[in-house]
Amino acid sequence: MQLKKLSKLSLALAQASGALLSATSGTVQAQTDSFGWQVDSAVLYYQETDHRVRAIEPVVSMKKDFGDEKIFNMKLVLDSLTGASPNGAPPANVAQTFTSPSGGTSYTAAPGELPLDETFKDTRGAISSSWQQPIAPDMRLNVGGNISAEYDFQSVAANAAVAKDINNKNTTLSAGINLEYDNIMPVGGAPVGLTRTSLKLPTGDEGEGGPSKSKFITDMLFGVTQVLSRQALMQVNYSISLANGYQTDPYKMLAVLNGDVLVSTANYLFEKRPDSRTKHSLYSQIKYHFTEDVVDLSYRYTTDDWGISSHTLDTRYRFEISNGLYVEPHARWYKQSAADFYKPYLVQGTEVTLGGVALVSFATADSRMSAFDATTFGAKIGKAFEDESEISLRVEQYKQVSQTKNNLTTGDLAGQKLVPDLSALLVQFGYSFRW
Amino acid sequence: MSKILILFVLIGLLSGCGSLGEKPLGVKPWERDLLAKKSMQLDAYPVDSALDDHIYFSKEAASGGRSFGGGGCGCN
Repeated sequence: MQLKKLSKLSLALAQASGALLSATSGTVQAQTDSFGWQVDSAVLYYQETDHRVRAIEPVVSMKKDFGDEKIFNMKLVLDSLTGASPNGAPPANVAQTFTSPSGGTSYTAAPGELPLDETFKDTRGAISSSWQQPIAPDMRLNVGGNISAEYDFQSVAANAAVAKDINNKNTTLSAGINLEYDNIMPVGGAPVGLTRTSLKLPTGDEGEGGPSKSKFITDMLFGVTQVLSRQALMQVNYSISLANGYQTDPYKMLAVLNGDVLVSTANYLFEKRPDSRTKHSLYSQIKYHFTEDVVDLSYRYTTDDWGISSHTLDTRYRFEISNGLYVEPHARWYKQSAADFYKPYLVQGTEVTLGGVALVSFATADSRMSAFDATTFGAKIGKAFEDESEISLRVEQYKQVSQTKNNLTTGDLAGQKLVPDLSALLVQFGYSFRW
Repeated sequence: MSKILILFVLIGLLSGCGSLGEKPLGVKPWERDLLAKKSMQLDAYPVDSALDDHIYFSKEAASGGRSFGGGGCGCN
C-alpha cells in the first residue's frame, strides 16, 4: 500500500513537474518565437508596355528582435533589368539613327517611333543593414548602412537616426542623417555635356564603362509622430537633400531643330545637368482604424533648385474580410513640373549655333525631368495566419501622361507626341514568416 | 495643392477626436490595442514601400519623404 501510495505520489509529482517543465519550455518557446527572425520576402515583376523596361526584383528582409528595443535588420535586393530606355530624342516623322553608348553599334528609330536604346540591361545587387537600440529613457538610436553595385554604378551609404518619445509616448520626435557616395562608370566613358554625339570617340567597350564620375549626397530628415486617439495617428516629416557631383545621365541626348527640320542625327547633343541640387520635401501621413478596416492617407510636397516641384497623394483602404484575409485597394496621384533646363529638343540659332556649339549652360530631354501627371491604381490581397506568417499578392498599374506640348504644326516633329505616355504593370508576390 | 495640405492637418486634428480641449492629445497605455496592430504601423509593409520607392525613384524626379530619399541606384 505504502509503495502504491509512493508510486502514485511520484507519478503525480512527475506529472506536475512534467506540466511545469512543459509550461517552462512553453514560456521559453514563446520567448524564442518573439525573439526569432522575422523574414519578409517578395518578388516584384515590373513591365512597361511597348517593349520598354522590364524588371524582376527579389527581396529578402530579415529582422531579429533581441528584446529591450534592440533590433537588427538586414536586407538583400537583386534587380534584373532588361528592355529599352528612351535616349532623349523625340519621335519624328523621319527615321533617326543613333550610335550605341560604346560607339560599337547603331540603332534606328522608324518614323513615329520613340528612339529607344536597346542595349539597356543591368543587374543590380544591394545589401543594407541596421541596428537599433535605446540610448536613454524613451530614446532610441538607429544606425545603418547600404551598399549596392551595378556594372556601371556603385553606391555606399551610412545613416544614423535618433527618436525620442515624449508626452507618455504619444509623441515621437525623430531626426536622421544619411550620407551617400555614388561612383558612376558610364559605358563608353562619360561624354562631355552639350557636345555633339558624333564627336565622341567610340571605345568599343560594352561592359565595364569608362573613367568614373562621382557624386555625394547628404539627406537629413526631421519628423514628428503623434497619436491622435485610440484609432488614429499621424506623422509629419520634413527632409532636405543636398547632392553634389555628376548628376547628368551619360546615355541621354537632345535632338536639334533648325526651323522645323531635324538636323542630322550626328548633330544631336549629349545632355548636361548642374553639379549641385538641393531638394526639400514635406510629407504627411494619417492612419485611421475603423471598427475593423484601416485607412492610410498621405500627401507629399517636394521642391528643388532645378525648378521641379511635385505633389503626391496616396491612399490605401484595408478591408478586413475574415480570419486574417484582407483586400487593400490603392490609388496614387502624382504631378510634377519640369526642370528649368528641360527641353524636348534644342533650337538651332538660339540654343545651339549652326556649328553645333551649345549656347545654353544646361539642357536635358529626359522625360523624368519634364512636366507630367502619373497615376497608380491597384490592389493587394493578403492572408495573415495564426503563426504570424502572411502571404500576399499585389497588382498595380502605373501610368504617366506627359504635359509637354508640341507647338510645331509643320516639319519633322509635327503631330508627334514629344514625350510619349508610359504605362507599366506591377505584380508582387509576398511571403512573410517567423524563423 | 497647398489646400490639400491644410485639409490634411484638419482631418488629422478632427480624427484626434472632438475632446481636444478637455485632455491632451494621445491615449493611455491601455488604450493602445488598435495602435499596436501591424496594420496600424505607419510603414506596415516596409518591403512593399521600399519596392515602390525604387520604382518611383527611377521614373520620377521627386523621391523620399517617408524616409531617406531612396537612391543607391544608377537608374536616375
